[in-house]
Amino acid sequence: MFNLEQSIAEWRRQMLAAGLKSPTPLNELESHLREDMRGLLATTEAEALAFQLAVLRLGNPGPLRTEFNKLESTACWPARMGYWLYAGAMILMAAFIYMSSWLYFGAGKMGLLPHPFLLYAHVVSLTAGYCAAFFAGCLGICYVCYRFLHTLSPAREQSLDSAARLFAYLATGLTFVGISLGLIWTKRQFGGHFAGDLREFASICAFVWLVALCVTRRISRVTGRARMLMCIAGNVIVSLAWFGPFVLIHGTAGYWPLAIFLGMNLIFLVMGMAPVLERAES
Amino acid sequence: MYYAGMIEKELVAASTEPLILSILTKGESYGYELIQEVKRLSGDKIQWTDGMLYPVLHRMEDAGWIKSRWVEVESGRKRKYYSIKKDGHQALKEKREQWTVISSVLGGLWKGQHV
Repeated sequence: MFNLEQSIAEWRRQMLAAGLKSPTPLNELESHLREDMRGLLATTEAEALAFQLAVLRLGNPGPLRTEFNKLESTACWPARMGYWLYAGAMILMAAFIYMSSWLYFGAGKMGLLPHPFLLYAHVVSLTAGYCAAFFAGCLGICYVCYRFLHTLSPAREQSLDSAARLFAYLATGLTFVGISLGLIWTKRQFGGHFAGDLREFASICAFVWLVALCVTRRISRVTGRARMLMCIAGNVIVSLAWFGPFVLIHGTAGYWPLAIFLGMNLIFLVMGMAPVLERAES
Repeated sequence: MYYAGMIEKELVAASTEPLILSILTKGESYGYELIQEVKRLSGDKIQWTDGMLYPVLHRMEDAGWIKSRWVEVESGRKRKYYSIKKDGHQALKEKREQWTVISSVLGGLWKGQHV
């Protein structure tokens, strides 16, 4: 006995297995399949035959996947550019930290620093984690701009969301590694895991926020827009965690770029929360 | 990507966007209806592989020519409707000018000829 719902579920499984991962086109193709079925049933009573014919007319999963993938790969240049920029920035950052440590302690005197490579790994991983959080935040800003300019298509939203998810996971993982290495270094250096430094507390606050960012991705009720706004809020929290302790210790002098950065992110947060009016179409 | 009964696939592919934009100037429509409308208007001479229409629609949406919205039609079933945007009208105007040039050139060449 033919069961339409079971057959459609099986068809969806085949499409997913063929690599058509994105839910939006799949839902739309299913809607088309049902429409075509209804049209075919007007001429034939054989439901199973009508379903097979409708599936055949819809096309093979392989070419369909190729076309949709082409679309997704060209959907959003900020996401693609983000991956390359992050990779480049991390290589430069690792080299810069190594070189500056070398210059600070003098050539060949890195060994004077207690557990130098542990400290180096801590600084590099924490910086890489914070930078990944900033990249997720920048994608959140792109989302707000696209939405504000009425150019946020489903493919673009999907592309930004996927890239932001990757950066959020990367930020959380690297920050966790950075904090852990920091705790080990502090234990070896001072005998306890915590030295009472403000930066320790700030980095844990940033980590908690990043964990929350990852957890919300598992909650289906949290909308894509809310997730992207959380990424922008992440910019504020991570920048405060990174530079806030220095401001508290040394004062605000010289930290005006931080104020500008915070202000800019708050503006984008408000823009993202505001409703967008429909643009008049001619 | 496309197949056609009587019209070559390259020509069908090239005409897809102006066809969609032209139909959408009459009002919003959805994928299945667009395919049926093209079949009807062309007397079944233009046939798209059904599924291949959707990547084209999404690409046009990315380009800002059209926009979409999901509408609940009956018993919880949803249908995605597309409508033309201001930039879509502009794109259609440009495509129309190009197709008019091609049509008039060919028309001029073939005038009085019995091919």
